[in-house]
Amino acid sequence: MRYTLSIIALIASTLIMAQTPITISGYLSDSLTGERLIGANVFNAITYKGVSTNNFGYYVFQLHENEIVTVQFSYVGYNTESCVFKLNTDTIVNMQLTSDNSIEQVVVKGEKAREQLAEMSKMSLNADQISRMPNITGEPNLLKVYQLMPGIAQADEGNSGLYVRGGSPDQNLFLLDDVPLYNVMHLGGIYSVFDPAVIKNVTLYKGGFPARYGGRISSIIDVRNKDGNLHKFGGEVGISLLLSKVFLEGPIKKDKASFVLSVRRSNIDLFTTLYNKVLTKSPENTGYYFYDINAKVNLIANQNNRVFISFYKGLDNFYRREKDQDVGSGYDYEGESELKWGNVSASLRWQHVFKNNSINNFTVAYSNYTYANENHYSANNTEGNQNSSTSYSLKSDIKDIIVKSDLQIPIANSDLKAGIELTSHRFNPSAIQYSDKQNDSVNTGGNPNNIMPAFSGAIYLERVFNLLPKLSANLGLRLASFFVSDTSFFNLEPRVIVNYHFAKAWALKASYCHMTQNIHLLSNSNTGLPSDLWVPSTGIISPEQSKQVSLGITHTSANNYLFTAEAYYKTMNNLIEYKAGTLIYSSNQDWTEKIETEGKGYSAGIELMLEKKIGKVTGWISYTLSKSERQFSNIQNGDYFPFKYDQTHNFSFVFNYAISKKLSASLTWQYHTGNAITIAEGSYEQMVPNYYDEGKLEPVAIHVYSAKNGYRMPAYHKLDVGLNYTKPKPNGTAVWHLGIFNVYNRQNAHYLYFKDEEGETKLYQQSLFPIMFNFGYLFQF
Amino acid sequence: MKPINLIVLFVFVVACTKELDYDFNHDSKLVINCLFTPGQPFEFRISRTAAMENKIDGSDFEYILKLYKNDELIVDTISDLTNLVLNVYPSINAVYQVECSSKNYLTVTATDSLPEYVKLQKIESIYPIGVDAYGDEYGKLQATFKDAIGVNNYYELLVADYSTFDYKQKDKVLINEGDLDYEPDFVFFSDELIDGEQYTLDVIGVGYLYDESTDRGCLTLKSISEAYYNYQKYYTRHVFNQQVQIVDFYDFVYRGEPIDMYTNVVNGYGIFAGYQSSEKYAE
Repeated sequence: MRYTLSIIALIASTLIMAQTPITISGYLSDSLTGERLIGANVFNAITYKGVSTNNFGYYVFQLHENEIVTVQFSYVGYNTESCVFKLNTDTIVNMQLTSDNSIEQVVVKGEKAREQLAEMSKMSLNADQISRMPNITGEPNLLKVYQLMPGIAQADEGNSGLYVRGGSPDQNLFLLDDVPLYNVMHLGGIYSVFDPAVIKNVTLYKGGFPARYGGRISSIIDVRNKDGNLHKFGGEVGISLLLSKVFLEGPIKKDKASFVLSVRRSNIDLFTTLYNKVLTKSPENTGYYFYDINAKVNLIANQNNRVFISFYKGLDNFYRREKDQDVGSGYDYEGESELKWGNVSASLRWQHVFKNNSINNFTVAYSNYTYANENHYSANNTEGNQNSSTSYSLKSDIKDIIVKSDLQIPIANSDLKAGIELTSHRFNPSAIQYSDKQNDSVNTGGNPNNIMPAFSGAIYLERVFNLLPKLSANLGLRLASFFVSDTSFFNLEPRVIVNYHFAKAWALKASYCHMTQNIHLLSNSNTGLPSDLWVPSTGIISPEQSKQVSLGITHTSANNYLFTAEAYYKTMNNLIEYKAGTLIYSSNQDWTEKIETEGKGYSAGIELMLEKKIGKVTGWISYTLSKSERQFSNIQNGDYFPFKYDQTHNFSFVFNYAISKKLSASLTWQYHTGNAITIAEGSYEQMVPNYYDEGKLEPVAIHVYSAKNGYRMPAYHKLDVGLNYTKPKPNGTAVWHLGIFNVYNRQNAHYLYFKDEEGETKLYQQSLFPIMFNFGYLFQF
Repeated sequence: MKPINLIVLFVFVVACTKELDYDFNHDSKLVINCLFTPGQPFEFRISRTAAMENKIDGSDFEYILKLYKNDELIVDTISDLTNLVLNVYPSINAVYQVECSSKNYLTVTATDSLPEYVKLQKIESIYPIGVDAYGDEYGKLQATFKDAIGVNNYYELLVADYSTFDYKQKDKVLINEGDLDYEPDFVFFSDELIDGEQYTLDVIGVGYLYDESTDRGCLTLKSISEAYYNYQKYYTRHVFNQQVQIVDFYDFVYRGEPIDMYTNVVNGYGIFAGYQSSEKYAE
């Protein structure tokens, strides 16, 4: 508490000491599209001291009165611009940067070095960097790229979750233009809901969380979509076996308003339908599709006021339909099963610049995640006047209405950030409904109305302090609250990130972060298919909490190799998970009866990354050594056991080569220790009555299991390669893509099972993705 | 916009399975199987666990078995029979303990007694009561009994050739058990909701009351010990979640984590439990 009060006092004192120097302020944007640039640099060309643009491309740079200063404006992938200023009054400078078309990733001169920043465990990518990422599907999957970085693991093939520093997938907060999304992976994890054509910038925090972020305990992934081209219409159209897509952007009113629209849809079900209906004429048709729709309107009222309206809708649907007729009995049968999940989000954001160059972003947003498993079967005999049907559905959804305000007050080239966020939640964690209908008689049951309203609020304060010439710190405090039924929770979350720039290109970094999460995911993660029930903290489920300490060192070599080493230790409290053997769709139990609560966990690890961002050859090598364990009082006598996705070793190699201006190649290789699972080690015979044989006792095989998660699946590794050929055309650019996934056809285990064959019990692994080839075409205009 | 020229070549080789070598270093233990009831001698099946890669060893081996009645040793025998039948009959109000030892194995013990007898007062079969989604008729069995007040009682209902599979049960006692979604082979329940009541249990399913030996309809209500009840309850969950080959993809989607089988055998596995039966023939 003493430390918390110190942080408050330190941040508050800056307001009192704040002076009013001369400022230049404005927006940095792309010269061709007018797209505002996030994280671009504005700095003194001599001292290299400066500021970065915020999430709206806005900056405020303070100078001394009448001082002659050469100010440079720079951004990765763009040519740097310089201006000389001698000012005695505040001035607005909106700068447009031109994209650098060279084939090499070039040095951004004067870019504020990582060694100078009071931030750590942060990984940012902009649109240009994303477009150069290796991919095998014709377009990079943002989250797959992150899974190649240290501390961020994938579970196995087909499992789409992101496991950050030993955390679970529900412990990651995904923000799309400030609105939380609850499930961001499509089936199998090959695609995420984030369309790379639309993304402007993305930042992932796995530690060192600034106070402006909260609500999850393992990571924050902040995705910003493009605002749309203010100058001219453009877009891209693409199609492949896996996906069809259209992306359009352009001005509604030149330099005043713009739009973005993108639509993607998977094509897999078209082929399965063709196979089932036409080729085999099967009465059954099983298929899968997903789609994503992104839309955004950007309105510039004036220099000080701007409004953004964003919309996203996505859906995955895995279905099975059958229609058959039994001539003998005279019955017509119809059946349909669907497993659907998806997000809808919409937001209206008003960005306002005050006279003192403070900037406020006011957001009103709506987010809805729905999961539904619906089954319906019917049998009709018209002649016999008999009809019957059964239906069963499990639905879960969460709806949020969010109001938030984020204020930035510029003080001596270091913003004070403060904000408030209020959210009304509506949980419907497990709505189960069933009905049996025989002729005119109908029986229904279940608990279709399981709605739980809740309310959360948070306020925060954050600022970077230059404590000593080489020592800076980002100090922040967040107060989070949650109200559900007659229960309320309050959590104070101190955040400290310290940077010691002890040598020219070296820095030591350390952070301590306390995070709280009031929303929990009950997930059966056996398959890539989600079975996600989002549930709130309640009287019996306390908010999940994590406390994380990180220590790191960064170095940028003279020839621009970036080296990062970080060690972390994270504790987690109040974890939940399904009880052993629990069926999530059981209608006979309330969800609260199906779970273990008050779990504890910890994870510790060392992460190394060597990255080359410059030149024809770019890429990185990353390695993570880690351990993650969990503990529940009712599991294994309360002993700690390995987290299912604990991966002792995780190694990735990413290589991009710009062969020529038209041709580029990419290669990725990854390896990680197999997942920890519980497996049957032995068996015995138990005598069980067979009621189909007058209750006679018969031997049945009973399995004796290993310790919880005491067995390791085979190690995972695979190699992917990609080749892109870009050819300028009179009306645009054509991009040909060749990708080979899992080049040496490694059979990575998705799950293990036993099978009796000729008196022997054999262990098998099921793999999902063998070697795959993809060849596609994209036209950008 | 220029028309798009598209050439797609995509080869997807079907996903496959692969046999894995494994060696689990399983530590073998003794297994006792004995469900005892009045009027029938104690019959033990003594066996050993085996590593998964090995066939379950059903061969005879030598062991020492001791049976205690109210802490008094009543049987002390050496045997090498897998199925050992003693000339001892269980009696009511006695606590039995079995102890079994064998060379190279931990000595195992288990304790249980017979539960109170509960009379099956009335049975009725109503058939059919409807047609299911596949056009098959189904019916309902009713069993009436009086539960003893103030004690925890457990029951099993035995109906030969009667399948409850896939039929939504509506009886509050069966629903309260929380086991129906595991598609249990057995109808078992506790008196949690009906303590001291006379109760008529409804079981919906397909089949008929029939006892081949008497050529009459027959229903059996077993009053079972708590160990027997746990054994049935865990067995249902254990078998449902075993790591065997998955035929229906939906089974895989919703299958839970593996769950250990219940045992009341200390240092080993298996079940040593008592029960009493009450049979009733259809009028």
